[in-house]
Parts: sequence; C-alpha cells; structure tokens
Amino acid sequence: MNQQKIEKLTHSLYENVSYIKQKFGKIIDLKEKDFVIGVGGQKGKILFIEGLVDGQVLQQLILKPLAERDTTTVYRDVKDVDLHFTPISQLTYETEIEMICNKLMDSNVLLFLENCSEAIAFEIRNIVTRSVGEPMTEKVIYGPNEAFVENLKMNTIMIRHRIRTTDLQMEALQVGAITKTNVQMMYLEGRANKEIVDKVRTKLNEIDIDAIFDVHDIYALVNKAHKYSIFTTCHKTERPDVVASLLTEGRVVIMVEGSRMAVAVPAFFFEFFQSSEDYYSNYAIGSFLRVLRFLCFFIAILSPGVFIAFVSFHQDMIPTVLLTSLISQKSATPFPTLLQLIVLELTFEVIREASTRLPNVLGSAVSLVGAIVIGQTAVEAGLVTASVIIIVAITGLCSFVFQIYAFTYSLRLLRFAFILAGAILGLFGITFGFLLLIGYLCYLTSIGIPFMGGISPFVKKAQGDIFIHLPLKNHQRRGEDIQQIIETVKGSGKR
Amino acid sequence: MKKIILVFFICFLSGCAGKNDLGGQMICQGLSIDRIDKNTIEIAYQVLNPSEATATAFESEPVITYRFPLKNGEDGDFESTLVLPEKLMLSHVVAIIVGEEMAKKEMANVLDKFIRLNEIQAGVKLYIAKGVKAYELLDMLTATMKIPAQKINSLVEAGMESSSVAISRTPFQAASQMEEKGVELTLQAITVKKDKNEEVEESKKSDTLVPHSQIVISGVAVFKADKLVGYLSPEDTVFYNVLTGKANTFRLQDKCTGNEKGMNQYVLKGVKTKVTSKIQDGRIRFDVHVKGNASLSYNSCKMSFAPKDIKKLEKKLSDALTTQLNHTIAVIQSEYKTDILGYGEVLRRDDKKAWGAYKDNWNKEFEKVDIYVDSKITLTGVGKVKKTISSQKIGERQ
Repeated sequence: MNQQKIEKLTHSLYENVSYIKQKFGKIIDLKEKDFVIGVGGQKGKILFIEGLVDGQVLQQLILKPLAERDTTTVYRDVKDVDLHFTPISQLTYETEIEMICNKLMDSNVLLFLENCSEAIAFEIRNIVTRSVGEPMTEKVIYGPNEAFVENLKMNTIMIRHRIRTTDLQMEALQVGAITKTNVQMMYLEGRANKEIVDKVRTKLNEIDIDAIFDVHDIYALVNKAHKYSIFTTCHKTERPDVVASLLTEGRVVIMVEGSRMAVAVPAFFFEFFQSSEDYYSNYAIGSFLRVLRFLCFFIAILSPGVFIAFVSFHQDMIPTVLLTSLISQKSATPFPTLLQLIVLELTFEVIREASTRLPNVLGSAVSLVGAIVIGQTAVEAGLVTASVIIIVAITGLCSFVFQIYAFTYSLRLLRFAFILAGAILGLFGITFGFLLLIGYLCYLTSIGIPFMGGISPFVKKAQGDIFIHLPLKNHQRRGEDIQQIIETVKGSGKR
Repeated sequence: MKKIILVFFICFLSGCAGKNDLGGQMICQGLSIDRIDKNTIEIAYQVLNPSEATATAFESEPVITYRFPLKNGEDGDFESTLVLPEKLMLSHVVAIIVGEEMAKKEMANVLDKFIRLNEIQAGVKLYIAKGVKAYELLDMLTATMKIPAQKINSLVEAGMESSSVAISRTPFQAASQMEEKGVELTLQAITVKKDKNEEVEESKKSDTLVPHSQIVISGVAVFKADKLVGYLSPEDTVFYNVLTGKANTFRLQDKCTGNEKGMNQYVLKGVKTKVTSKIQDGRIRFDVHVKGNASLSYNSCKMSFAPKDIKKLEKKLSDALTTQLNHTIAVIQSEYKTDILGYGEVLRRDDKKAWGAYKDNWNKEFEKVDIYVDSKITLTGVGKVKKTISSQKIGERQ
C-alpha cells in the first residue's frame, strides 16, 4: 500500500528520540523524561503528550517505579521492563516510527531503552468528557432521558449497559489520514443481516479522506449512492436506548469518537414517524400519535403550496364565505400572496435558525419577539394577511412533531418546492410534485435497502408498526418486522 | 446541469397561465336575466362587497346589484367591463333568476347561455321570478341573511325539507328535463310579497320590525316544451312532489267526519312513492302507490284514539291524501296538459315498445291517461295528549 520505506527504530536511544521529536516538529506538549535502570545503569526515556495521558496514573504506575531504581535486574529488552515492574495491562510493543507517533497521539506513554530497537506503548488515557446529559433534540416524556456524549468509550458503556450479551459485536477502525478518528461499528450477531454488515464494513474500509469530525461525515461517505439526497436515509440519534433497540432489530450502528450521535442503518421512511414515546406508552395513544404525525407530514409539506394554488388558480373551489374573507384581507395589503408566503416562511426559518444558535435564555426571547412581530404587527401594518400567517404557523408547528430532527430539515426544503409548484402550476403542480416525491422516495436506498421498504415493497407482517402502533405480543421477537422487511426488499435495491 | 436549468426555466415559462391572484375580482353571487321590451333584455349581477359581507355589523350594503340593459345582440360581458371596477367572477353564483317574460318565450336560449358558461358551477339553482321583475328579487335586503341570492336558496331548501313545498333545479337538470321527451320542465317560482299598504313613507320603513316586503316561494312554474304555461299553487306543489316521489315530509289537513266543524292536521314523514305503468284495453294506466307515516299535529275534532279506531283514522287519512293527489293530477292533466310528473319516463322504463308509439306525441296522450292513486298511511303518533283541550269541555266542568 505505502510505497515508502517503513522507518524502524535503531539501537541508539538518542537517535530514536531525536528522530521522533524532529518528526513532530515544533510542539510544546511533547514531554520527555530520562531514567536509568538495571544493573548496568541502563539509560532509558519516556515520551508522552501532556494532557492526553492521565497524570496520576503516569506518576503512580510508571514514574514512581522507575524512580525506585531496581539495580538487580539486567534489562536487555523492553519486554523485561514490562515483566518486572509495570502493572499496566494495556500495552503494545512498537518498532515502527509511524506507529509510535500514532500511539503518542492516541494517549500512550512510550518507553525507550538504550540498545533496544523496540519501544513499549502504555495506554493510560486521560478521559476528558462532560457528564452524561439529557438529549437535546429527541425529548420524550416517559422513557430514559440519557444522551450520548462526545466520548466513544463512554457511549459504548451506555450501550453495553442495555445489551448484555456476547452477541454484541464491535469492530473498530481509524478513519481520516490527518485526524485518525476512531470509528466503531456495532451489530448484534444473529440479528443483523450478514450482507449488510459486510457491506458497511467494506464501505467503511473504502473511505479515503483526510479528516472526519462527526458521524454524519461517515454516513455521507458510506451512503455514496445517494449523496445528493435531501432525505437522511439513516437513523441518527443521540439516545442510547434508541441505539440499543435499533441493535436488537438487527441494525448496524456506526459511532465516531468525538460525536454525540450514532448512526444506524438501514433506516426506513416510516420509521421517521415513530417516536420512542410510542413504545413507552399505551398502544392506543401511540397509534393516535402515529396517525397524527403522518397527518402533520402532509400538512407540513403541502399546506402552503396548496394554499397558494387555491388562491392563485382555483378560487372557484374556495367556499364563498371563506373567499370573501380572503379577498377582504387581501385588499388591505399590496403584495401578491406568493411573495407574502415566501417572505413569511423565510422569516420563520430565520427565527428558527436564530433561536437555535442563541443561548437558551435568549432563544425564547427571540421566538417571542418573532411571534409578536410577525403575528400582530405585520397584519396590522398591512404587510401580510392573517390567513398567510395562519398557514405559516400551522406548517411550522406540524414540522416540529417528529422525533428525528434530520427529518424536519427535509420537510423544510420540500415545503418551498411545493410553494413554487403550487404557485406556478396550481393543484396540477402540487399533484405532479407529490408524484415526483413518491417516486423519489421509492428510488432512495439506505445501504442498498429501499428507503420505502415496508410500504413499498409492501410487507404485511410489518403493518402493525407502520401507520399505527399495535401492542407488543408476548412471543414477539423485537425487530422481527424490520428483519422481515429487510429480507423481503433486499433484492429490490440495486445500489 | 444545463438540462436541469433548462427544465427549471421551462416550468416558469409554461406556468402562471391561468394565474389570478386574490383581489381584483368581484364575487358574483346572484344573476338575473329578464326581458324589458321587445328589443331589450336586462342582466343583473349581484356582487359581494367583501369587506362588508364579512363584517359583523352593517355599515354599508354587503351586496351591490349592477343592472345592464342590453339591446338585442349586445354582449353583456362586454358591457359589464365598461362599468365594473374589477373582473367579474361567476364561479360563486348560487342563484340564477329568470324573468317571467323570458321564461314564457325563450327559456331554451336562456338555459343554453348558462350551461355553456364553464365558470358557473353545477350546483347553481335556477328560479323563475313570478309576477315581478327578476332583478327585484336580488334587490331585497333582509336582516336575517345579508345576501339575497343566498337567502333565496336557503328559503327554498328550508321549504323543501320542512314541508316539501318547493323544488330545486340546477341548469343541467332543467336542460335535461327540457330535452327529454317523457318529462316536462318545472322550475321553482319566487316572488315578492309586498305590504298591502304600499305607500309607506321611506322614513318610516326602518321604524318597524316587520318587513314591509318579503321574498316568498310560490309554487312551481310549469313549462310546455321551452315555454312557461303557468304555475302550480304552493299546495299543489306539495302533492306534485308526492307524485314525483320527491316529498319526504309534508303537512296534510283533513276535515272532521260528518258535519262536525273543525279539522285535524297531520305531519307525514318518510313518504315513499312508487309509480308503475301498464297498458289496459289500449289505454295507458299509471298506478301511484304512496306509503308513509303520519303523526297528528293539530286536532279540533272529536276523535277516539282507541286501537280499533286508529285503523279507521288511517283509512280516512289515506283517503284524504288520495283526494288531494287526484285533485293535483286533475289540475296538471286538464289545465296545463303537460307531463311535468315525468310519467312518460315511467312508461318508457316499463314498456319500451309502447313508449315508442307515444313518445312523439306524449303530451297529447298524457291528457287522456288514467292515473290511479293508492295511499297507505300509517299513524305512528297522535301527539302528547289524547284529549283535546277545548273551551267547550272546560265550559262543561263549570
């Protein structure tokens, strides 16, 4: 793979250390410490990067034993060091300069000995992370309120707490030529489809990129077949309970060091209408909310478009009483309805964006100002009509009901597409656009599995949890329906 | 990428063809057409004043009626563009009123005009202005409903529902009635009932709660081919509706037995009519079977409600209905000589061969056909009390 000659350690301690230091260049946090051990007073050196390693452990388990110099043993090799005085279990022997540098960056303490062409790397990681907090985007009333943090180890522990089986498989790899980010792939042996696991593994290994910072980057690279997709065709969640349930359903989960999100594939369109709440509460209310979310989906993408189609093209279809009211409202403002609608929708988006960026305390202030400015004054000033405001408000509200926030993004964009379609071609445009949307959704895949799976191709067994949510049966295996879908549709996705 | 941009622009170029943003339209709710003299017809558009139509309190009139007298051959739409400040929108018309003069001579032309306009919706109702100019009906402001055109519709609907005293026809229904051979056209007639004391001073008009003139429904306009020949009275309209199977609920009055003064009144509900035809000894015969339930709503006769007497009451009631129906049939057959009952259709359905012989001269035949009515009414209720409160009885006690 790499045509360059692999650089190995030499027998000279000085040469080795200075070469590594030279490789790092100008760096201030690379620390070194000399020591002398053994019968003959053999020279040695340890190297580490300050902050990455746990100072206390370094002091207790390496520096202290080294200081209490053992003059009885002969240290010919670094293996002797390991054997004789360090109680640290996580260590490796390294001979390549490249690997040594990597280890240094990965919270290892490197120990070199004079006349040894091998070094020991002790892993004493200093875990810097915040404590486990509440989920920010996927709030539920019942159910656990725990969210992933930016530390991969911690996140793994949270999943381990929930799934205690040897079937839980984890595979680690590093991605990114510069960042060398730890990426972890998890699945449940026996549940996850082998082909999908293999596919994800292959795709992960194929990734050739310099830097990765978030799990979304990984997903974008794994799902290259639909890189222009406006829908996120994977589960992206910050909830360990969701990840655990996705694992039991046979999903492959990808996690990335430094990201507080996990990605699970394959995902299906209908799953974006689910909420973990559905499963934590009564089935009847779960079903009701499911239906409500489907309704909200249509309102969120269609209502401004349909409204503009009706007022621009199909006034004869509006009931007379409503039409008179609309016309009398309209006579108070000089702007065309389309302009009002687009400007107001954009304003709404601006408020939404502004309140996301602002600190929590200010965020509510912004939305209050926005509501008053838009709702009250704009109508009074004759800039927009009240009906347009109602449409925008309803649309906005409806797009907030989905637990998976990534889905909301798609809806926001689609809404504008439908406004244009309605304004240009009327209801014909809306119908046409909707057909295009359905076709597009059927075309999308998630790791080769059709995104619309369950609905099309239709899987009867899964219907208990698509448009409605039926209660769990005693004998039911979790995720049986999902596995059924995957089995059914596996062949139909080409990509 | 070029293709995408091209498609994007094509969308914009092709679109917006029928676009017509809100505002800049006048919603027309009512429309009337009438002949003024030999050379002139008049079209009136009743146009909403949106800000007033939605207002809760009256400030100015919620509707404006524009009248356009047109010489023969003049185009009404063109004339209207000279006067109306905004584009006229006919898609919300709810009522079309045709003047009597026009209905008498040129109903076919009128219907053709309204059917051809694709803006006008299928649910529009067609009426005949009886004894008044058509526009006058659109000119009657009432307190209960702001828009006269809507008021007429709701008046007719209420009449149909509560007492089957009216009929409803859309231009399409009317046209098909006119075209078909086995049935003749009928339309609902509307008129204005003016106060007897015509000379009420303008200033006093608003001083009283009783309206001085009102829109009233007044029976059915009867047509022969495309010409208006007369009107059925509102009473006959009820029985006309029974005979055509359109009546569901209506009131029926019956005199007391023997020489006793007074009468009782029934409300009939769930009335169903079945008409069959046969040819007997070369004569066409129709059998009309009427079934339904009745309940007593008013009584001033001495009556017994014992179970054995109920049967008698039912018989008497059924006979009364039969008599009434026979009377209406007689009016239609001998006075108007036109098959507005649509019994020609019944014959066509039952005996296509025979119909072939009669169809070209059906109205002539219809005068002579025998129509036998058989009513079976079941009495389901006699009201809350058995005995009638009458001054006579109270007098006896004293």
